[in-house]
Amino acid sequence: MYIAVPMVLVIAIIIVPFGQAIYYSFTKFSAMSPPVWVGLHNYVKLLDTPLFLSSIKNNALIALASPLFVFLPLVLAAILFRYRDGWTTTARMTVLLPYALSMTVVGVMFRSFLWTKGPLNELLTSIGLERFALDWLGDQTLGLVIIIGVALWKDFGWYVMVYIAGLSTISRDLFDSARVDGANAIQQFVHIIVPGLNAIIVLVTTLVLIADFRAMFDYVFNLTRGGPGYATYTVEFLLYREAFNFFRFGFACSLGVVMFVIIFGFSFFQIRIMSRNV
Amino acid sequence: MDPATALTRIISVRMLVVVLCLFLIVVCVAPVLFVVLNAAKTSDQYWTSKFSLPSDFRHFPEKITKLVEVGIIRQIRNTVVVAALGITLSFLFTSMAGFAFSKLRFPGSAVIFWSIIGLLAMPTQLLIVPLYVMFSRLYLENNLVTIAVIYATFSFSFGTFLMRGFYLGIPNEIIDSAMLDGAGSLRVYVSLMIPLGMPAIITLAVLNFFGFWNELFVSFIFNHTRESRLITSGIAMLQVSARDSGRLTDWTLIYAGIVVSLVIPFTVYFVFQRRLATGITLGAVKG
Repeated sequence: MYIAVPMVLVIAIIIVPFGQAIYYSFTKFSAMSPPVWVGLHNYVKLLDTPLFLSSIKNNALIALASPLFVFLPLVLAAILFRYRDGWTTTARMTVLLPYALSMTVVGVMFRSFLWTKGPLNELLTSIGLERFALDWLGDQTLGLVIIIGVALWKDFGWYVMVYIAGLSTISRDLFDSARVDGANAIQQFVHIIVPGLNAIIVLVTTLVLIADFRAMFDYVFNLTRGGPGYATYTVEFLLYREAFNFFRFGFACSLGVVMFVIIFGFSFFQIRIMSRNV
Repeated sequence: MDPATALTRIISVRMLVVVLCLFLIVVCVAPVLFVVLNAAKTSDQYWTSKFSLPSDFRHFPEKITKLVEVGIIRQIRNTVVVAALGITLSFLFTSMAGFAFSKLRFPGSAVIFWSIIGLLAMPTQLLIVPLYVMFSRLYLENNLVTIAVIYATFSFSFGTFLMRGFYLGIPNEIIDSAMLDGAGSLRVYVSLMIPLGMPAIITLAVLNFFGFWNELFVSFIFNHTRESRLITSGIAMLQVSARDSGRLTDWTLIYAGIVVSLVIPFTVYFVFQRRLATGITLGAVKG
């Protein structure tokens, strides 16, 4: 009784569309014509579409930056946790500020900053670093680096706070006795913090990996528009373009199924960790 | 180590920490501050002096008029409605489900619970085409209620997990003694589980607020008319309407739109900042 209403909605809004999406992925289906069964055609076409291969490669390259998202916040959290004064308290309060902004606002903001005639290049020029004043958004290789950097700006504070929440569950005695034994900060980091936060590190890793394959629509859409050319297309962005600009619904669903398989792999680990902690 | 070198070492470590903190604060605040300051300038002022303080705020009212014209205020109102409805539905769904899965053992409850958690792996992008086809056939696209129900359903898995985890920490004796006094399960839910669950309920509401307020993918596709558009897609669209008669983009108008759109999220952020930190503990440390 207590779960009847949400279960009906879950079935109508998640389970049934899930089945339909798998069915559509085996059909030729557009806004104009009803679904027609074509078997594996869409999946064969996927492998034959260079844009799909480069998009999924971009997702994978973004995923390669994951260690940065996992370990930079860990180090920062350890420092902010260890030294407590007005400075670190203020820093703790401000690192969460980007969390309150949407990926869209962040994307639009940084698009304006990185514009050739934007404030970043003006700043660089004014301090005599003209040669670093680049066409940031017009560069084939810089595009992904910028997306990763902007995502890091938005997310690192959130992960810092996750780690600090975890650090406060580690017994103070451990740090005290380590100090008595003469362990320095780095030894304490390696031997107390990293093992003590093991579960949280794995959790953050899966969160980062899932975000790499799931949350890369907003940044691409607002920051680079997939450009220059097709250089920063991700699978999410390609799916959106195929479904809602070209109305190739069947093909878009086959992209969705590929995303699902990848994310399911990562989530499997996440759910196992969640079940271990309950 | 003699006292003098020990002292310099402590001072230098402290200095490094202070420098690091300053760096973090500047990195997080400066971009936002730049946007806020330039929102008050005219486009010409922006192009000639991006880094100066705005001389006055005379131009802000005319910007607001322009933003009203492109529908920003309407979009904020829509988003408030959607977020309020979505948060309410999510509260009802997840507190009931959390109660059921933690305190009322029923046949198959474990299987159903872990199936619900398994849905966390479902990418929205996979569901978007069938959902869009279904709701547009029912003429339910561009509808604030539709998108609120979709949001509440999508957040059901995580919310149920969080509420169940919190309710597991409440001793069963409290519920048993209430039941012995003749209270039915609905009575226990209303007069015990809701008040006792408040910390988790508020945390979930805050996390949901940011999730719903900031969502782009679904709302951009579902709510695409002038009347029904939500604020996040409104900001994304602003770049189109802010083109200054084919010349340069009027970034100051976009900045003003961003500033106006941030009033409510920043208020929530500052009021519930502490709650957010505990929410991370509830949501992330426990799972």
